[in-house]
Amino acid sequence: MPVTCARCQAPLPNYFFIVTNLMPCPSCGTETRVHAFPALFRSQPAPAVGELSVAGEAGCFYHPDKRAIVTCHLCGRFLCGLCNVDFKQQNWCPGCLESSSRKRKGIDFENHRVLYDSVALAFATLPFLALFYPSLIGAPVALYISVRYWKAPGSILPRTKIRFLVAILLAIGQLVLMGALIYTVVHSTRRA
Amino acid sequence: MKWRSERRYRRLPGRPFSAISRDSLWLAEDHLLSVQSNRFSETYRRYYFRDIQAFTIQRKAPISPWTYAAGAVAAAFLAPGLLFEFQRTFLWISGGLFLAITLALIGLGPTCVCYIQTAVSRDRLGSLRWIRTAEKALSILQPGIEQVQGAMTPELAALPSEPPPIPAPAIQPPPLPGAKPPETGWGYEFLFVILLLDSLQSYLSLSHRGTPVDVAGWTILITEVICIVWLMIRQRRFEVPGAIRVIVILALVVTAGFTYAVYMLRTIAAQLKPGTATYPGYVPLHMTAIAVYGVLGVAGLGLITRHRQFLRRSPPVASPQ
Repeated sequence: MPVTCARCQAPLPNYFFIVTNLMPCPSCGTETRVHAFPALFRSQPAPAVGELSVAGEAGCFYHPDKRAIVTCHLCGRFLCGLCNVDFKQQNWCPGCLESSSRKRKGIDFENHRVLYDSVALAFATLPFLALFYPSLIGAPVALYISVRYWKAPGSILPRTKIRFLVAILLAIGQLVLMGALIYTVVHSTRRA
Repeated sequence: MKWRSERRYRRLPGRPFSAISRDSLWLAEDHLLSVQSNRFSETYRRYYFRDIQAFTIQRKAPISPWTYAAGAVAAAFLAPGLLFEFQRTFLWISGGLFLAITLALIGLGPTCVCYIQTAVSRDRLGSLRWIRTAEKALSILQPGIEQVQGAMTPELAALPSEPPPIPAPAIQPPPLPGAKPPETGWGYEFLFVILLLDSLQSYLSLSHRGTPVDVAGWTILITEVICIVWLMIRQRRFEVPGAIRVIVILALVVTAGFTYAVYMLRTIAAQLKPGTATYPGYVPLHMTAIAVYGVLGVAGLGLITRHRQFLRRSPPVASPQ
């Protein structure tokens, strides 16, 4: 894939890869800078097809007629060039890769996470800001989410549990306030 | 109890200018992690150092449209503050705040679009929106990539990076599956003008109250809502820049929020003091409405104008012979 101008999509000439300042694109004139790395010039390996095995040679687990060249580092199955997946400098079979991704074995397999602490905090704050009454529902929901997902894996990025804590404190505060309000209303009605 | 998650990533400079989505870049031992967050969930994409081929930084405007918008709002607050005594403190504080934002945005310098390229993909890095930030982030990234791939040399760059280009076909290729035609209607311009009119109506309602202003307000509100809904339906069929989509959604959220706030405050005021026409927070709410609708209108008009210019300047496609 050639390096192209982000605006006009015209391929950029090679002098862009060594200059250290913004240069106008020869096609559209947009000022562009390219930080290129040797991988750009590395020839791409030809797609693996897997060689046919001859009598006496070990065959691939998934394609018995193809010659096995490596073993899966996790399950030890014999793999041909077609089935071998080079991931994190290890040889993986498609099955192990798929099951590891499904079972979330290690954060390198994950590409999506729900931030339950932010959800709990939103339930604790937004209904309260919307003129108090909606927090009758919001506060218990925030409490439930905080307790239910306290130990659930959060973001893979550095993050504390402060949002959960704030959500719990706010939700309890709102419930106490709501209870006091109901008590006052009921008490004053009885007296009246 | 594990209070803090494992510190495996280091944050790279760059923050998006968005209240809804939040893109960020994180540096790990052997890869770059691009995180797209909508505040309630995160989506990750990893670029391993050995696979990264290039970063492309394309300069955009010398000053971002948001800077013009913030400057316009600052002027909108400060000019009446200088001329009139009415609500002078509020106007000065609000104007000063927007002036500070304007100066901060000017201080950030020219904006840019940054892309990361691998052998099989080319993705935009949403968090790198200023040239200075992008250069800073890439200077942190570069040593890690060079440690894996080696340094870039002029001899290496002299090699052809791609096979000789294939001559362009004479017949225009069919559009890619899922590709949408660009939006060419005037609906967006109409909506952004309506937003500016809403800002003007809010300004007028500070000093002139009565049936004509109320009727104008309701007419603008209904037109605005119909227009937003219509554009949100059209957005599914036509290609529109993400920033304009965000402004349309923000316009809907803001309109709903202001309508709800006015309705609730009026109800409370009517319960406290029956027969009163005004309500608590009338002036600050209208001032905020002037500012918010003004910003959305100006930013929207600026973005759609630039988008139209970009479409006009795009290289012409070879016509069928």
